[in-house]
Amino acid sequence: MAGGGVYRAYLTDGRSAERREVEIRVAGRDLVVEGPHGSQVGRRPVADLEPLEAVYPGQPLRLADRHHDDFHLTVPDASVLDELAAVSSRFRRVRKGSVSTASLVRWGVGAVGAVTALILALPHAAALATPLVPYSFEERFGGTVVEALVSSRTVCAEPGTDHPLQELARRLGQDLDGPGAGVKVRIVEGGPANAFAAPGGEVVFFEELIREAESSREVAGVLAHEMGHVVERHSMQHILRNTALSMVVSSVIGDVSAPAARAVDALATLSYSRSAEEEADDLAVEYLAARGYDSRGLVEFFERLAQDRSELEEGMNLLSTHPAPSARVERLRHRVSEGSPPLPEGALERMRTVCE
Amino acid sequence: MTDPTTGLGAEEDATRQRAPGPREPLFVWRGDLLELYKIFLVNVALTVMTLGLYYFWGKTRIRRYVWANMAPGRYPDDRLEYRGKGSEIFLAWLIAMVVLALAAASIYGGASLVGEWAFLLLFPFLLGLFFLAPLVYHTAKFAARRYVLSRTRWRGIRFAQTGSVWRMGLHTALRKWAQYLSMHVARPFYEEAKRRCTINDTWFGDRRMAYTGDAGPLMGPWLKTLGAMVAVAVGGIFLGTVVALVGGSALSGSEGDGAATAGVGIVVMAFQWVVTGGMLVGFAYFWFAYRAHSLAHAARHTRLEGCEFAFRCGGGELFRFELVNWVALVVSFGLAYPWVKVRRVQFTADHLETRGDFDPAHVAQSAPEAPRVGEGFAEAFGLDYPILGVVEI
Repeated sequence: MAGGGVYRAYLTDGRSAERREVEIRVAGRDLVVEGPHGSQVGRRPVADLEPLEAVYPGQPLRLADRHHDDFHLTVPDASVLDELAAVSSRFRRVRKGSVSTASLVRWGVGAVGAVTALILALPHAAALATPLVPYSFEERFGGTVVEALVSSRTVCAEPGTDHPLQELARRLGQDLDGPGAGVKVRIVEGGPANAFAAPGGEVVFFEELIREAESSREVAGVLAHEMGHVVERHSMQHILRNTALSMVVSSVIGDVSAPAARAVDALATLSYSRSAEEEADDLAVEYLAARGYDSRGLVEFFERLAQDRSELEEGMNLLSTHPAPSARVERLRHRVSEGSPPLPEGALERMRTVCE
Repeated sequence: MTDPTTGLGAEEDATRQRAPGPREPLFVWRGDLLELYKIFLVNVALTVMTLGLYYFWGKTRIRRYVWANMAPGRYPDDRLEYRGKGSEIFLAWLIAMVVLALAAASIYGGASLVGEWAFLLLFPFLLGLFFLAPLVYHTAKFAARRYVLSRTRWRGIRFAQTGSVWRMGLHTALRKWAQYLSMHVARPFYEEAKRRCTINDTWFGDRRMAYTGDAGPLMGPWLKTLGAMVAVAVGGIFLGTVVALVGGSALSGSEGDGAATAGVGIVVMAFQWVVTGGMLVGFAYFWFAYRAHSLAHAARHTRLEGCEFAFRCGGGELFRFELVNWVALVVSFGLAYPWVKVRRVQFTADHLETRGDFDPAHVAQSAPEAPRVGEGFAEAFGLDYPILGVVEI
């Protein structure tokens, strides 16, 4: 400080990059800029001035004029802020103190807590938002997705045509409203031994699952499970949740393609997918039991999956989007019940040859 | 002859002799990590609380702090200024979203019109995407760079990027397509096209930067790098196949013994990870060796008035630097972002040098038309272009 409220400063006028040493002082509601010998260079209302940024310890104050773009003043001694703040409230919260570790920890806990709360709330928000998406849109979107996924494969049984799984889907859907009532089942050649429910109510079975199934009630259990996904519109929930999560993570980290964003997304996806799988398991048992069908096939299917898995795979299940088959067996063992066969005799054998 | 520690060649030595005056860092970093951390954490909390809306203002706050703590090495008391506003990039984001929505609706509408024959459009669509994606990507990044430069000042003088960003985008995308079609052999032509576009059209006030490099000197090092990477890939695939065959035979030998099967499985998987990890390290080693060479080449051929530049960093150092950044971001789930940001600025400050005459008194303000809003998809979605043209900050 030059003394007596006079401060050394550097003025640039925007005409060249040369800076000019000046002295400034606050006089009434104005800031007076004077040359080295007291000659007045300029006088500006403090109300027209604005700080370029927050001022941290050791940082100069830099002032711009809101009405004259080229006026620029650098004041090494930021204590002039006190005088400016007395004239204009714009300067009151410009000066920042040293950042203490304690305040950093407080904000850190707050930020991490806010992110965690949002990630935990997203599945619920997605579940609430899904009914707002017109089902006709989901059907059209799902049709495009399925066509893209199976375009390179032979379709052994077209959706909606007369085949045992389509017939079972129709029977299971009789008591259901909405998406569950119109599930279409398609069988495509090849593997893996799996099935999936696409958005819009189509269930795709891979031939290998039917070939490897040891009973028709296993296949029926899988179909009922996929119908659970369709009824709850899990695919659409998943899309909404992932889109929202990507937006949040990218807005926090800056770039959704960054490895950190992918890591957060992957971790959040794990827990969400698992709860959706468990919900579909429960619904499968419920649908089969409601029609008086034998629901033990689902447990038998998971038991076989668990047997086929090595200890290593079982141990690595922490990283899987699905619960471990052994855990699913434990959950469902006491819920399933005997009943009539869900598929007619010989249906499994007929389906095994459908791709030949 | 290349200096193994700096990656600089004989050409650099000649430059060093020509340039007058002492060698100085191009800029210095005067910021504080804790201060940046606090800004970042406040941004995170506010962004979440506003369901993402605050992101644009938060990004501007970070940029303003970083700019305000960077100063030319020769004038360490005269810091850069950032005059951008959050509302500008928010508006850019809104525009980008409308354009994307219109594009998606057009594609969807087109597919609906042709009905079941939509699959016939798939190939032309993918072909169009192959050609359009690099064009849109580069144009968006040039537009982002133009916006950020237009909001950057030093001693009140504006930086600028002139020229049509679509022309730049096309110019660069053409080389990118050539790179793809040449199985990456032509990569140096792409790199140099990008540098010519950006650096030659960069202004500080009425002073224009100049880039005199061309792809020729980079072709030799790049072909060696490409060859080494292919050798690493072939070696890795060969080793992986051997491990799979030996592992498969050991697994069939241990059939019936669950514990032995699991043990062999773990060993085979561990070997496969080692092979995969070795391949990745091999790729990265050769890639960063080339990258350091290419960056040194870029700096060496950049001029601003009488000032020349040099980037002094070996491939190993660059590799370690990027590896630590990557690991820190992944294991911290992004919370190391401010640390990585400061580290990146500091690294650039430590390795990017200048020497030669430059008199600020003779630089006058130019008045190129500055964009009124943040520009382009890249700016809106946070994909910044390296402002210094050498190392991304």
